[in-house]
Amino acid sequence: MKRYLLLSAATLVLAVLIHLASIVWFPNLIMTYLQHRFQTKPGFGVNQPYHEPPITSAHREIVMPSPDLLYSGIGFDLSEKPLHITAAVPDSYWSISFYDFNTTNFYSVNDRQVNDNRLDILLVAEGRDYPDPGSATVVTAPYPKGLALIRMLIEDQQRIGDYLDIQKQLETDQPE
Amino acid sequence: MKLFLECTAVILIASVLGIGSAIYVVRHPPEDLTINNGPWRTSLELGSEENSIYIRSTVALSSLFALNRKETIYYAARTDSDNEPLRSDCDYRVDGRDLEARWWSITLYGEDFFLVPNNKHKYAYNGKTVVRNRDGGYLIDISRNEQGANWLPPGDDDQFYLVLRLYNPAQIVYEKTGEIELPQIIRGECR
Repeated sequence: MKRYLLLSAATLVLAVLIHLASIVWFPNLIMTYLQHRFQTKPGFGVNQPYHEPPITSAHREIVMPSPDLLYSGIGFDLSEKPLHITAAVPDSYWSISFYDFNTTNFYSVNDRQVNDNRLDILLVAEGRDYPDPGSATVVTAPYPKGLALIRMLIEDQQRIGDYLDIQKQLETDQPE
Repeated sequence: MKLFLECTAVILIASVLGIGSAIYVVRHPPEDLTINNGPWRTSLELGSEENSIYIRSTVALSSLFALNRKETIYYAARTDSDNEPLRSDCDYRVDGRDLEARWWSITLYGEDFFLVPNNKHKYAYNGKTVVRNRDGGYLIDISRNEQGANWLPPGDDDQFYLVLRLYNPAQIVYEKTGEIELPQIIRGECR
């Protein structure tokens, strides 16, 4: 009986630990899975912009996509160098959001918060040195790896070509 | 040998309990983490850096890469205004008015949280695309049969979900998240 109680207690304690570990690591597993999926997409590269075509029901990577938005992403890795990001910003709703590897949104900025319809950000890893940012806004990532997601509202489907042109002006480089 | 079998049993049972309970909790977040407004539910913790580990996991499953509350508030509906599950074999009418935000949209998703395939590519309506009534409000019909000025097909899954997005919402949305007027979801005929 005593042995049975001991085994039951051990099972319960281990179950609680596994439960907590699962909850904590689940977002990381999702990010790892997505990173693997996106790496197989043509045109995808670490620290490079990736432009998702206009959303339809064929999009099955990230849940609950909005069909009213044009999405671009940058899978970033700041292990070696910071990442300089520039983009053209339209007059309609536009935003860039940064997520760490736990999927936490640690920084966002929208079209009303940038100057002269232009984004200029230097993304750096916490605790790491970085070069003179010049006019760029410095954004510190809590972890070296993560994702930047750009959303642009398609106000008028007839002007989709204009929005796609703006989308392509998203650029990255890695200063020394 | 007996000890090995016992340890194996402990690990297996603990794994099933631990992982199974984690999956259940993630798919059924506690009520006190959500704010209800009629058929709509939201959590102001979505995308927040102060998220609990449970909210973070729930969001990873159903709302990955949600924007934080400073940028966007998301409401989701899995039931109609009578608190009955949204069923694809029923007709619904979403009856609403403009919302206190820079931009809003209502999007329909299938059981798998992805857009429902349809040959008309009808997935959502927003403040600029919805056809208005004379009084400025709008009606969105959800049905397997195309109808009305605004129509969304629910697909072939048993159930579907609606997500209401408010980008750059007004301050009152934060202050009265559970009380502001949101669209009604009225069930019609079921087959």
